[in-house]
Amino acid sequence: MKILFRLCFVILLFAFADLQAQYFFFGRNKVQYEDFDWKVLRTEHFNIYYYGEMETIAEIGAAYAEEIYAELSEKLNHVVTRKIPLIFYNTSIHFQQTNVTPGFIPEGVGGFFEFVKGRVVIPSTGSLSDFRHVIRHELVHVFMTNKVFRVLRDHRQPTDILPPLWFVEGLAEYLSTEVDAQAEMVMRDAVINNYFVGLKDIFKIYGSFLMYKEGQSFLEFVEEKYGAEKIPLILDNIWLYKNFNEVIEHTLQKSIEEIDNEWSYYLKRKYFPLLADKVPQEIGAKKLTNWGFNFSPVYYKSKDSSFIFFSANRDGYSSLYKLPLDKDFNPADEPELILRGEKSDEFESFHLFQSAIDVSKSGLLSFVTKSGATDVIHFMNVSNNQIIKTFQRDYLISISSPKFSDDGNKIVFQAVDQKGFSDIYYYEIENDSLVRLTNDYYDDRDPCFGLNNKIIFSSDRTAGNFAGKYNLFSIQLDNKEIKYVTYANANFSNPIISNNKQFLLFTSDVDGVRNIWMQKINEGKFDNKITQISNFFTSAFDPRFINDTMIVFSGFQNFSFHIYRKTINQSELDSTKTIVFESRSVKGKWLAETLPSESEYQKLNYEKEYALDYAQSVVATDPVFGTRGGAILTLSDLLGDDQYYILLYNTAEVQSDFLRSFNLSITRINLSSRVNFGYGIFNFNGRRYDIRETDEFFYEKSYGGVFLLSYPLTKFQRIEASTTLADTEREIVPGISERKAFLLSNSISMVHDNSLWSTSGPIDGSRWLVLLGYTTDIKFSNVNYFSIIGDYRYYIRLGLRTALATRFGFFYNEGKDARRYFMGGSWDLRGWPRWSIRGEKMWLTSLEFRFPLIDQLNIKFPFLDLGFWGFRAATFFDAGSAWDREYKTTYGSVGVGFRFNIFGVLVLRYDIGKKIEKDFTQLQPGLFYQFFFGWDF
Amino acid sequence: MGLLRKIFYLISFLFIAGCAKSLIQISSGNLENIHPIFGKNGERDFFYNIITSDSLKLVWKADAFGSFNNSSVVANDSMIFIADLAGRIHVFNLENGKQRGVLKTKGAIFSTPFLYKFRIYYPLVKDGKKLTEFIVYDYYAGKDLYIVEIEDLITNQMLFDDESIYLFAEDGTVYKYNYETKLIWKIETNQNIHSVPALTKNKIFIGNDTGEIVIIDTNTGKILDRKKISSHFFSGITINDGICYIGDDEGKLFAIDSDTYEIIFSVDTKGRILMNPAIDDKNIYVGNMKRMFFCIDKKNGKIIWSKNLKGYFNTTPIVTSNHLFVPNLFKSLFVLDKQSGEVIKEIEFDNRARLSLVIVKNKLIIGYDEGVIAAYEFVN
Repeated sequence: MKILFRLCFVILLFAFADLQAQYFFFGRNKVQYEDFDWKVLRTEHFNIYYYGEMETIAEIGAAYAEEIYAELSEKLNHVVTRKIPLIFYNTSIHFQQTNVTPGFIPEGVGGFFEFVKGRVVIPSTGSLSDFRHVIRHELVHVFMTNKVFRVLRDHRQPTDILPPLWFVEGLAEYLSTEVDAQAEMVMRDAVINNYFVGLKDIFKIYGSFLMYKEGQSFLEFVEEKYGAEKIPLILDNIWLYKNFNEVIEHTLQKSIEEIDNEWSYYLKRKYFPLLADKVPQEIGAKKLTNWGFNFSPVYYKSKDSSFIFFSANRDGYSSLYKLPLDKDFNPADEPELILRGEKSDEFESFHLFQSAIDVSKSGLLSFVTKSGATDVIHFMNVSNNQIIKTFQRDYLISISSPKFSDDGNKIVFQAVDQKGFSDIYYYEIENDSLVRLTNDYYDDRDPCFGLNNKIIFSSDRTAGNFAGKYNLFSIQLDNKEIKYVTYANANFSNPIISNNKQFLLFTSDVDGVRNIWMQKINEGKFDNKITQISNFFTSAFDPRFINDTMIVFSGFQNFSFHIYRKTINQSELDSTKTIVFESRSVKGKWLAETLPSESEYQKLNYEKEYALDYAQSVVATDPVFGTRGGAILTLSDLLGDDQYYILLYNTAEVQSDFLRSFNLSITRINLSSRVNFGYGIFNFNGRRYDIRETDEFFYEKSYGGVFLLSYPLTKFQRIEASTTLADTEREIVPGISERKAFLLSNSISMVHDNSLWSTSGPIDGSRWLVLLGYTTDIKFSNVNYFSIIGDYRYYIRLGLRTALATRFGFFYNEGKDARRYFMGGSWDLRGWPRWSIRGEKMWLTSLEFRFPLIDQLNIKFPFLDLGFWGFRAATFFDAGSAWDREYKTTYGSVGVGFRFNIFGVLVLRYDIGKKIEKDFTQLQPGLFYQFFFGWDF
Repeated sequence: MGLLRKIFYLISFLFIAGCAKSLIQISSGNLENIHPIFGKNGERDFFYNIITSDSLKLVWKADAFGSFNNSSVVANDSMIFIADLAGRIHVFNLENGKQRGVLKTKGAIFSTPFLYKFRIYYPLVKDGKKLTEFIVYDYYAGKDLYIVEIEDLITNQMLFDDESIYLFAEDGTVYKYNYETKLIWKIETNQNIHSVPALTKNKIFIGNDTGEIVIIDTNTGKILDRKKISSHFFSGITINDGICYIGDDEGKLFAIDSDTYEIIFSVDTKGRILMNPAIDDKNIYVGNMKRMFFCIDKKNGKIIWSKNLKGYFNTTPIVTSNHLFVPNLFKSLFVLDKQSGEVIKEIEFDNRARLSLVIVKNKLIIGYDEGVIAAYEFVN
């Protein structure tokens, strides 16, 4: 959203006089559903920003931050002397509304450190251990960047150097967490399945989750082999070499090849022996899916058939699927898409990694999606795939894993409220009655219905020797009494009771990764012993019963998540791999840390303090146009809600023009609430390219103001409006022809975008825009015209990476001195000279078949290896025309194009084809060749 | 045109200033090197047997080019000398802080320079190479006397005795040169050294990264003893009355007999120790990275007092007959009553204190980030 505003602003800066934008920008919206009432908790080393009811979480976070600060200062022999801004959100959903960064925040992001102003932004997810982990992770970034800056500055070296990303993230993980089941799972999988890459090739996994975990693994290896003291020394030595590998070589006193070999050997020695008694999931279970990322299977049997429902991302969108099973519980067909997510506001996102789905015996499927400001629970009839009910409460921001009762009339689920507390709720579907079962800062999750009016759930409320571990608990529905079901030094998740009520099935990381375990139930009481029934070397998730001897679950292997089916053998139930609980009657509870005394912190209201985001100036000297210079500055408050853009430049060509050639604009954009607005003033003077006549310029001076408004209806649609008032004086032929105008221009538009992008442009979804505008000269009546614009783009997915893209645009200005549109060139009507076809009216259509060409191209020089990825191609057909009064001719072109994305920021385009000339009656002789840059439409 | 001319003059000025000559030439008469090396002497006790006022007045500030590690200035009776991490040696007038000269080199100087007669001895670590130039500069003549290339990184403080200078490489190699830069011996201890060594009775005591104490005979270069007593040593050794004191990464302060090499006692401060302890006639003074500062009986290791202060302590304090002067990473200097540990005064700086303090002719010389040197005068 912010990007859109900025782009609108830039366009208005440079083309305001023509008042109707030539280019129309689509894009999804970052909707600020909440008006956050920000407050500040000021501690010794931090300014902590929080809002609403999350004071308790903010205070706990502040205590964590201070403790971590002291720890990192000691470990890294470094202090950060400024107060570090920590911005807390109560959930990931609110976190995704932050304006600290302009881009969209993907669901999996647990927090970020913004390097320019040193801001740390972190959501609470309901889990204090996760919260503490993320605070620590981000503070490692703060300390590391500050220390690297200090080391380089001390040596008077350029301070814009940082270690490579794998080290930056690896260090943050290494210093912020023990090896957990997730890290262990990823590294085991990478090493055993042979996609682990060493330091020399780590660029190949740049930015991936694997890169984080490999960086962490490398530093754990350094600690074990060379000593923990070497790791801060790497930062101390960074001034010595420009190449970071040389810094590592110097610190560890070995070559990178030797270090790489040692690390690889260390990992193989660590993980290969696991294969002696652990199995891959494909061998220990039957794999039911073969593509994509598949999660949370639930089994459902109708009268004459049986299915597994699951959530998955199999084509770029998170969706719900149905897999039909034959009588042997093998797939009878390919999975069928039953509900498409991420294309509409109602199903804005499925939380694939967080939330499970469930199905009742009567055929009601429950699942969670984000819908608008909060998560909601949908109830879908599986016989016709219709949503029959939706549950939503304003105060429950984030919801996970609803589970049905046996009769299908009730559900239990986990939700995070506005305080940031993660608790268990009980909901009666028929009478819409909701009961909150727990209410504290312990992380209660994965509830399911148990026996005797009890709910079983996983929680970190474990006290005693294993304080903070996620054990399983039961809570009595009537008196809310909580008891331990398990008590061990491990984490337990995803409990579910068998149909015959004899077993409790769940996952546990007892042996390093999450495997499936079982607990017998005798006469309604849980045994004091649990038995391991899977022994995979990577993790299993969300096990569910098909029947009393067969389960289905999702599992991670070969860097992919699939659905598996497993038969439980009697021998596994009698497994020797058991854990016996010594006690399940531990008393008391652990308490979260708090700030020591009120004298050491202050609570304040948030007051905006503006600081520079960006400043750039340039002075250029040209033999024809002389010396010119300009600067652009942007300022914003700490939360990024209020932004100022200042542009100043001078276009004088001779000294006498200097004073009258200043160009200035100041614009304020406010993004703090759902309605985004902006306003500004400008004064522009200088020569303008005259789009009415080819290769002509005119001199124009103008000043005025602009007002912008944008209201996002959903993530995918918004309404935009703008008003501009400008006094202009245009000198077309000096002393002879001129135009004075006092222009008032209004426009309103509706924009839609739910497209899914590949490396060079959209390949699925649609984008459209409708704009109505009116521009008039309210003083001299020299200009008076209206505008209608319609632009529609639709992308038909033909395969995973192929698509047919269509576009139709209609641009219509009518009235006195109406602005002209233009086209031609690589962006629209290919083959024709760039922007050479002009008129007050214009239409354009394109049809394009987009497909991958070369996935990877490696060039091996004797001294250097180069790799390029993601070459794409397209065949295209374009047609269109532009005219003023009378329609003249139709232009067209056909051809083939090649696309290459450079580092995700720029697409190079090379098109070859033939123009269709002479009112669409003749192909050009020969071919045209066009090279340019830009994304596909 | 006027504007362009001004810009031209400004650029010219900056260019000329940036190309200022690399020269220190001071043709004074006899000078007494009051504070010739880090810690004042080979035992590095950081003790000044003087009564100091707790009232300090800022006399001057001056700028070096680069910043500093845990080192200090050295001084003769009218000038102070400081090396920086950007490879320069600066000389300032003790009275007014005016720069008397600068030596510009490319690299980094980690060690406090050593003053001997009119000579400055310093090791210059070169960028991007495992190479150090050991340079002897005659500041009376204003020229280099000797430049010796050492294929090692000399990142530690030097030591000296009547005949020789000792250099310590990061990889654990120890070099002995005479004053004319002739190599007398070198020995590889085979473990990295980041702890500041000390010297007494012809023995060098070194703590290394693997927690060993290594003792080297200065005459022969032979290792007399080495024993592992800790995990890592990154602090420095201070010697007093035949006892070596050193703190480790776990926060333990060890007292080791310099003759028998046996541990006399150890004290757990529960925080990483990175500084050299300071010692007076009775006590040891040491701070850690958990913001605790301790006064410990040097005979038996009994903690006399401890204080939790706001700063993190990685820079060596100094002790006088009545006060402790403790710089800290949180941009200030504490003046403590050494009997009780009470904070008498806190002097705040613009940035983090980096240099160990030096008292020269009633002036307290400090240094902090961004290469700032400041002189405070004790006033009554």
